[in-house]
Amino acid sequence: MKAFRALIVKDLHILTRSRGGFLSAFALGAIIMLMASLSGEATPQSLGQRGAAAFWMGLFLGSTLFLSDSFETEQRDGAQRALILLGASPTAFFYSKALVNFVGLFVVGLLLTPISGALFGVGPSLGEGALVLGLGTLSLSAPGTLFTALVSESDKRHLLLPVMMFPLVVPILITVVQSTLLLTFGDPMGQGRAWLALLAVFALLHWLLDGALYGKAVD
Amino acid sequence: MTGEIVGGWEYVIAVYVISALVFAGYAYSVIRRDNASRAASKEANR
Amino acid sequence: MAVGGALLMAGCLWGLLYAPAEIWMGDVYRIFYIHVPTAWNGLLLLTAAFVCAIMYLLKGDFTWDDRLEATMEAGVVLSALLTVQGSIWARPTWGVWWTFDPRLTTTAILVFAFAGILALRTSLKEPRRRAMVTSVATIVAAADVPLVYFSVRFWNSIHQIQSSPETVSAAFVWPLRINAIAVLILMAGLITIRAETVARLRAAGAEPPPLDSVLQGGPKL
Repeated sequence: MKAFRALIVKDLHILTRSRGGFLSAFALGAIIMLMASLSGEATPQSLGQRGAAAFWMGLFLGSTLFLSDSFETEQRDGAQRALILLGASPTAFFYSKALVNFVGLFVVGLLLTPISGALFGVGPSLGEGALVLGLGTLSLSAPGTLFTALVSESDKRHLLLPVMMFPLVVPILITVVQSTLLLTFGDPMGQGRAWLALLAVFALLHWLLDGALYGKAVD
Repeated sequence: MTGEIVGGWEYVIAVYVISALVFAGYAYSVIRRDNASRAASKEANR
Repeated sequence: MAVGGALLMAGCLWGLLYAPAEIWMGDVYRIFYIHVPTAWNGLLLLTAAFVCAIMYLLKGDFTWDDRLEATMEAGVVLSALLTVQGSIWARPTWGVWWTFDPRLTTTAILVFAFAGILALRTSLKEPRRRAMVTSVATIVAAADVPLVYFSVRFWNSIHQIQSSPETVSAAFVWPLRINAIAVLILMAGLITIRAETVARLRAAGAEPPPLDSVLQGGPKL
């Protein structure tokens, strides 16, 4: 527990000091939303649908920039290997990194929210939006952390990370966009809960599986 | 209109031709790479 | 492989020329005799890749990594072909080249996922690291497949139900079975050759021991 706390503090330090990842993710997300707002009709229905899709696509694409920066400090001079040799469990290392990545992505999402509101006008209420944002970024951070570790030693990592993340992101993308649309435009058939449950299952599966596999990945 | 599809042989032929090309092409690729690796291995052991 | 190729030609000729036309799809349905065997074998191979990944993580034996690469490569080829076949069949039957049906979408995602893993493999040079990373990525990608399927199915579905002897008329079953077995034999032959090639390349790429090691005649005293 003590080691895990120390790892979390370390990762939070890295998060607060490395603004590059935040700025890149935020900038890319904002650009994608701006382009989406210009590429269709200005009716509330059309804007709302494009807004939900653009927000999440922007966040996902931005997340690859954010995540690829998240291991940079540990990769330098073999610091991760040193930590593991000193007794830090690889699983603890993973969960600490994934948790802090979740916090980082959630913050990026919060930063993009006012831009989305300004460009598209419609959206879910703050509380409901925060719930979908929380579940979406939670679903994304575990596989994102694992895959960033897998591709980190490849010379093509900047290309490979988005390519490999894409298949993982598809069910999250469908689920969060559908949830956002239902919360924005109403949910007469009561499907919202089922979509959010699917997202929770996805998050749980990946947090368990990816944590178990991480030790092998860095062995 | 009864809902039955009439004709459509061009689609059938397209699928079978593409499939044949892919199977043949993949088989050729596997065998060519195998031959290249055997040649390289022989060269390395000389 | 020659047997597989010959059987496949026989099955295709039977399906194209002798099997009766289908009541609603007419002659267009004959695509089914190559599309369904491609689907069965493609998914079988990707499942085999998943098993090889688990076996490598459990045993650490490179033979499993060789088989993993071979089955994954063949699985990606068949899955990509499957997507193209399905798209061409969709045009006359559904009126569109593509639709977000769960099965079509899941297959397309599978192709991207496993093609990405193959691309990652080529960029990692150290064999043990490459095998480990590939195995982990394969397990995660395979675990994602049911989630993709259920999320898309929940969202939309117009694909016909799964083909099986219960859902397929007797007149159509035999050429289908022959083609399924033919593709399996053909791919088994290719995978065996491919796995041997991978093993040979890995052995050839192994670093020679350092000059002052015992294996090179011992340290110079």
